[in-house]
Amino acid sequence: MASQARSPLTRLECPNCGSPIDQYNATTQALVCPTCGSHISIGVDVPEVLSSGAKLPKPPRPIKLGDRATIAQVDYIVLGRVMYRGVEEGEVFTWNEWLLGGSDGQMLWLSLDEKGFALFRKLRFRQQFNPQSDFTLELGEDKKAFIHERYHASIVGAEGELTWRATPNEKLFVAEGAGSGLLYSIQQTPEELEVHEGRQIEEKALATAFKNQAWLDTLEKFKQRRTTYNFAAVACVIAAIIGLVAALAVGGSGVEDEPRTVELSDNSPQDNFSVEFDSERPVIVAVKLLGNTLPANSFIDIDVNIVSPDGISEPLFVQELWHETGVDEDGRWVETQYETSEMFVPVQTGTHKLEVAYDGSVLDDLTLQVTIRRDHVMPLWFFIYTVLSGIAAAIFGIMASNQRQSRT
Amino acid sequence: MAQQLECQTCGAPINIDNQFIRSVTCQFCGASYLISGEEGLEARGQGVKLADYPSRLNVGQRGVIRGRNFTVLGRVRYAYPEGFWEEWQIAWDDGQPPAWLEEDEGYWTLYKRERVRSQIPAHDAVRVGGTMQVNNMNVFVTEKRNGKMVGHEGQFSAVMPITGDFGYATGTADGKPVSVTYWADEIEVETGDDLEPHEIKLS
Repeated sequence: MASQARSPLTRLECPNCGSPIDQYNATTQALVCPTCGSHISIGVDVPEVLSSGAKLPKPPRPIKLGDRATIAQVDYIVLGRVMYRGVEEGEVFTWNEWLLGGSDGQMLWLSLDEKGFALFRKLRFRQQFNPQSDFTLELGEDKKAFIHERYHASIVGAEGELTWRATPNEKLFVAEGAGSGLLYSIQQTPEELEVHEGRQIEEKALATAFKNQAWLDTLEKFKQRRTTYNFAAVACVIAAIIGLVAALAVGGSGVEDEPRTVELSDNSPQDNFSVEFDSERPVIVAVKLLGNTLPANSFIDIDVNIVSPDGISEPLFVQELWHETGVDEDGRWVETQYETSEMFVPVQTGTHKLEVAYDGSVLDDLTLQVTIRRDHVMPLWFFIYTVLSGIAAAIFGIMASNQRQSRT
Repeated sequence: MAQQLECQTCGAPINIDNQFIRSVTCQFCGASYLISGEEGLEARGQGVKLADYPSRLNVGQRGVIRGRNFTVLGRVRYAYPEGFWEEWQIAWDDGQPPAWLEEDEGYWTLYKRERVRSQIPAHDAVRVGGTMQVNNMNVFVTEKRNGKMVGHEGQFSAVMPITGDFGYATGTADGKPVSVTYWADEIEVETGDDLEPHEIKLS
C-alpha cells in the first residue's frame, strides 16, 4: 500500500484548538492543523497561529499525506499540499501542489493542473529575468526556456507540512515556460523571485510510483471508457460521412418519364395529362419554360395540381418563374428562373391527372416542358441521418475528451 | 588541537576544536564568549539557547561533502517574517577555513566568506529582480528581506551577534549563489555552491 505508518519527529499542540499535530519533516516551517485548519508557524519561538484557514477540499487525485512513492529510485513521502487559485484573462482556475520529501533529503513539488502532473525542483537563475515582461529564461549552456503564460495567483489553503509559511490569500505572480523538454515555473512576490524546473509525469507512472492499485484500476477504467467513446465517435463520423455521400448520390435518383410539352395561352390557360403511378413512392414534377422568355422585370405563376384516381384534387405547387434586371456598382445585371420543381408522394396507385395552369398576365401564350421522375429516393432522410450521426459523434467525442481531462 | 575551557557562568566545559574559532556558546547555559588572549574566554552575555528542533545535522556531527571530511561546529538560526533558515558552521579536516552550510526549505548551499572589495549598494537601494555589483560580480537579486538572529549554539569562526536584526539580499551571479548581509556595523559577502542532499554524507 502507498500509506504506511510513520513516526513523527515531534508532536505539537495546536495553539488554536489544542489538537495534537505531528511533525515528520526536519525542514518544516509551517504545519496545518488537521483538526481546525489553522496554519501554525514553527521553528522560531513558540508555535504561533499564522492564519485560521479552512480545511482544503478533497484532493483531485488519491494522494494523501503520508503516502509514499518511489520516483527515479528515490523514496518520497507526501508531506503537504498547497492549493492555488490563478486568474488569467478573467478565467479563474485552481491547481494543487504536493510537497514530497525524499529519503535523500531532496524536496520536490508534485504539481497537478489541467495539463497534468509535473515534478518540480528549485533552480538557480542564471541571468537576470523579469517575469512580468521577459520571454526568454536563460538556463546556461546555451539552453533557454520560452515563456508562454503569465498570471496572478494566490494561495487557497494548505494541509500537512510546508517548508515555508504559506498563508491563505498570499499573492504571487507566476510565469510559466518550457524548453528542452522541461517545464519552468517562476514565482514572484515583492520579497522573492524563485524558479522551479519540472518534468511532466504520466498519471499512470505516478500511480505506479505510489503503488496505488485502486488508482491504477480507476485509470484503466477511464482508459477503457475513453477508448469506447472514441470508437463510438469514429463510428458515428463514418456513419455521417456515409449518410452525406448517400444524400448526394440519391439527389438525382428515380426513373424519368419522357418529357411532355404543355402549351398554354390566354384562351386556354390550363391543360392536363394523365400519369400512371404503380407505387406510392416519391415523385418529382419539374416544369421548365420553353421558347418564350419573360419580359424584363416580370413573373408568371405556374399552378400545378394532382388529381388522384378517386377524383380528389390536391394542389402540388404554385411557383413563380421570373426575369429580373437591374443596375448596381458592377453594372447591369439580369437574373432569371425559368424552371421549378416539387416533390410529392402519391397516396394511391393508378391513373392520376396532372393539371398545369398559368395566370396569363404577362405572356399571351407559353410552352412548358413537364418532366415526371418517379421512384425517387429523398436525400432528406439521408441528411437527417447525417446530422444525427454527426451530433452523436460530437457527443461521444466530448465524453471521450472529458474522460481525458478528468484523468490527466 | 582541541582546547578545553570552562564556562564562566555555569562551569561546564567548553571545547575549542578549531584554530579559526572566534566565538563560542556554552551548550548548557547559552552564555556567549569571544575567544581571546591568554584567558581564553571573554564573556559577551547570555545568548538565546536554541530549542531542540529536529534537523538532519547536529553540532558535533561528522560527514563528507564532495570528498572533504567535516565536523559541524555550530548552528545559527535566522528568521524572517515568512520563515526561517539555518546555517551550520562546519570545520574541514584539511585545515582550510571553516565554511557555512545553509539549509533553507530543504535546499542546501555551501557558503564561504568573501572579502568586501568594493562598495556594496545599500540594502534600501537593492530591488528584487534587479542587479547589484558585488566584488565585480553582477548579481541578479532574487530575494531581499529583513531578518533577525533567533539563536545559536556551538563554535564559530566569526564573532556571532548574540541577537540582532539585519537586512539581506541574495541572488545569483553566473548561476552561483551570492549572499549579502547588512548588519548594523558590518556588511558580509558570501559566495556559494548549491549542494544536492546526497552530496552531504553523514557519518
